[in-house]
This record gives sequence, structure tokens and C-alpha cells, in this order.
Amino acid sequence: MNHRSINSQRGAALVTALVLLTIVTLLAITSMGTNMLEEKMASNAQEVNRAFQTAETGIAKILADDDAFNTNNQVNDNGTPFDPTDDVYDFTSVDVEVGAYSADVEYTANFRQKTIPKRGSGWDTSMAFYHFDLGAAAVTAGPAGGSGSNISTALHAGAYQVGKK
Amino acid sequence: MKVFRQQGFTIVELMVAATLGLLILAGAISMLISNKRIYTEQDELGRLQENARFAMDMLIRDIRMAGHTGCNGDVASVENNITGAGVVTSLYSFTPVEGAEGANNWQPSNSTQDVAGMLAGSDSITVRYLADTDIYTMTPAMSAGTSQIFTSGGSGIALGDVLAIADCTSADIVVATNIGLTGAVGCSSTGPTDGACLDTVTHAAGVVVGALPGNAVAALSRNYDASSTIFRYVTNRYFVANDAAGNPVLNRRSSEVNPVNPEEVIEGVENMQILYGEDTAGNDQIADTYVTAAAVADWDNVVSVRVSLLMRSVEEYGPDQDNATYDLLGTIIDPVDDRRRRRVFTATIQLRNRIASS
Repeated sequence: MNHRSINSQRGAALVTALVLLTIVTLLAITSMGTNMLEEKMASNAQEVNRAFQTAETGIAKILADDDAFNTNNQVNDNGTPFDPTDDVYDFTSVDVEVGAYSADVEYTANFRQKTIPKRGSGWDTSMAFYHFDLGAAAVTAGPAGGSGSNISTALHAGAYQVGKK
Repeated sequence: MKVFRQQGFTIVELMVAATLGLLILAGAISMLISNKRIYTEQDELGRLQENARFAMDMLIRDIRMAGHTGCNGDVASVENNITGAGVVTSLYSFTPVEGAEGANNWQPSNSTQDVAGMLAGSDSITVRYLADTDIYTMTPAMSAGTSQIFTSGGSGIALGDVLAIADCTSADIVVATNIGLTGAVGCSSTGPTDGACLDTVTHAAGVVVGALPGNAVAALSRNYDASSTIFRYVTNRYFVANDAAGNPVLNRRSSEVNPVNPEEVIEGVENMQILYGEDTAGNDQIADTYVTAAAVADWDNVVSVRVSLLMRSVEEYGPDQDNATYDLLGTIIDPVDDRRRRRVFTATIQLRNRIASS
């Protein structure tokens, strides 16, 4: 038997295969990077949606809050008090738990304007429409135990209450 | 007998070596090819989804705002004062949602303006609202309909901005024809600009500068009091048109961009179909029927919008021809048979600010 040392072996199959494998590996790594980015964007979109739905919950909460519809709750749109002698309605923070996820929502209601009832609205002129701007700001906290995603959404809705003039 | 060292190798050895080598190479090459194909596929589909997500996000955000006036949806009258040569007037008339089937008339205004370039088989939508960002409180009250409008200094309102002066009773849409500063402490462009200063906005009649729109009349419909609000007026029109290379892209025409030219927004949008959810029974803000723009009976009763996008990959790739047809909200779309991948994305959007007047 003759033994040929490893150094004297010839042929290109191994080298070529290794080069090709390197290219495949590079492709896979790039592809993985792209996919991870895609996954991040998709989960971000999901969190944004979650924040939006949480803010919707906030709007629903204001409508159920007896203290919200108070004409003393006046602020300018830039957040400064409309009239320093008026009380400003405090932001209320509500924890909303959705499955294993949690999100915070804060809500507020500001009195905007009093208008007389329109003709044909069914209300006589002894009554008035009190218009409020309802706001809800939600921040997602992400999965319990995980790092917080901290995506926030602010929603505003208009509402009016019919009251005595 | 002398023994020679063996030189060369037998034919059997050669054939075995060659076969093994070829097998290994064939395996490696086929792996490379399939990996390359997977890579392209994932890359293109990723781009397609990214485009779709972005397009949907933008459309949903905008359509949801339609008809926003800062009040509970039933501002009785909106006075549009905008005029000017070359101005697409239908962009400024305050109908919260307007749609067009293909390049047909816009509904409900019946305007045939601004249909050039729109792809015939694809729908388009216009939404109008008073922007929720950059809201200024008017102070003090107007003494006459032609009065300057005052608001706290540093508002950033610029010449040619399309503004809406609104309260919960009515609204007036005007163009800012002059911007100034006033106040007791020497307010000027070089001095203090905010705090004690007031920004003044003039809304004179006539076209301002160049192609900018102007005001038909200086007088507003009434004197707005100090609880009124100054909003930015926004019209966004979305449609599908071909870009310079002949590929369909989602276009937007916005009143916030001056002059109002279409902007290409997202590539790979091949077709857009839109249905409008009309509350025809019960006045309960719940859509009873979903119909096309041409079939909407009363636009005041539209409470939701359903948008469907046919997205296609930006590049052609792979060996497979796409011969399929796609169902976009009941409209069957048969795109060009090419080697692109296509996906349909659909969303239903509630119009939060459309509350049928009681």
C-alpha cells in the first residue's frame, strides 16, 4: 500500500464547495438581519395598534366618568390653564391589562364651549349644548416581564352634554 | 526484481474521485442556487409587506381624521373662502370624505378636476379635516368679519397657510395673506416674538403670491369670539398613478404642499379599491351597507371606509409567472402576467368624526 500525504492531494472539489458554502452562509446572515428588522417593524406595528386600542379604552372610560363633564375643566390647547381661577381637571391614570400585556392610559376632559341647540334638534332654548374635548393618552408596557415597548398614542374625541342654559 | 514506486493512478480511482468531486460540487451549487432564491423571495416579500404596512398606516391615520373640526362632528356650516387661478377648488370645499371610481367624477361634488394621471381601474379618495396638531386659540375676539386674527406669539403660522377659524357652530376656511406681530413690548421679527406678543393673521381678498390660493372675500361669515380656534386646514387626496418608469405608485395630493402637486408616496401599489360604509337604517353609526363611491346615497351617512390595496413586489424575480386574479372587495383585478409576487391588504376604518346630525 502506498500512502499519499495530505499535502500531495490534488483536486478542487473541497475548496470550491467551501467557497460556495461561505457565500451561502453570507446570504443566510444577511437574510437573517433583514428578517429580524422586518420582525421588529411588524411587532412595532402591532404595539402601535395595541396603544391605539388602549387609548380607545380611555375614551370609553371618560364617557363613564361622572367627574369629567364639568365646565370648570378648562385648559388651553397648549396645556396652560384657560383661566387661572378655574380648577383644571386632573389626569386620571388607569391600568389596562390585556392578557399578558399591560398598558397605561391617562384621560382628561376639557370644557370647550357652550352652544345653543340647533333648530330641529328637539331641544328648546332653555337648554344648551356643553361641548367637551376628550383626550386619552396610552402607553404600552409590553409583555409582562419583558422590556417595555413604550409606544404611546394620544386620541381626542368631541362630546357634548345637554344641560340647562 | 526492482520495485518501482507507483506513479499515477488507475482509471477506477480516477472515476471514483471524479464522481465524488462532482457529487459534492453539485450539492454545493444547488444549495447556493436555492439559497439565493430564498434570499430574493424573502427580501422582495419583506419589501412588499413594508410598503403595504406604510401605505395602510398612512391611509388609516388620514381617513380616521376625516371631518375633524374640533367639535362633536356637527359644525353646521363651513364657509370656504379659497379662490385663485389654477387652484383645484374641489380640494378646499369641506366635504369630509369624497371618492371617485377610477377616473370618473368625484362624489359627491361631481367635480371632474384632478383626474389626470389616475389609473382608470383604481379608486381614489379625498379626506378633509382640520388638523389636530398646531391648534391655536384665538384671542381676543374679532370685532368685524374682516378683522385681523390674533393668537399667542410663536404660533409658526406662515404666509399662504390654509387656516380654518372654527368653533362648534361654524367654520371659515381662509388663506393667511399677511403675518405680523403685535404687543406692548416692542415685538418684531428681531425683538421678542412670543410670550407677551400676539401673532396677527390677515385674510385679505385676492391671491397672495404666485400660484398660491387666495381669499375670495376678506369678510368671514361672522365675528368669531375668543373661544374660537385656529386650525390648519388639510385636504389629502390619494390615488394610484404611474411613475415616470411606468410602474404604479400611490400618489398623494395635499393642500399642505404648495403648489398642490401630486407626490409619489409608496411604490408597488398596483390597485386601490374603496367601499364606503353607509348607515342607512337606525341612525346608529353602524354601517348597514358597503357600496362604491358612485353608489353612496348620502355622504353624510358614511360612517366607515373599507380600503383594499393590491400590492406587488417592486422587482420581477424567480421563474414563476403570476397568472392569478385578485379579489379586492368584490372587484376582480387581473394584473399583468409577470414574475412579480402580489398580495392583497384590506382595512376597515371608522370615521370617528362623522356623526350624523340629529
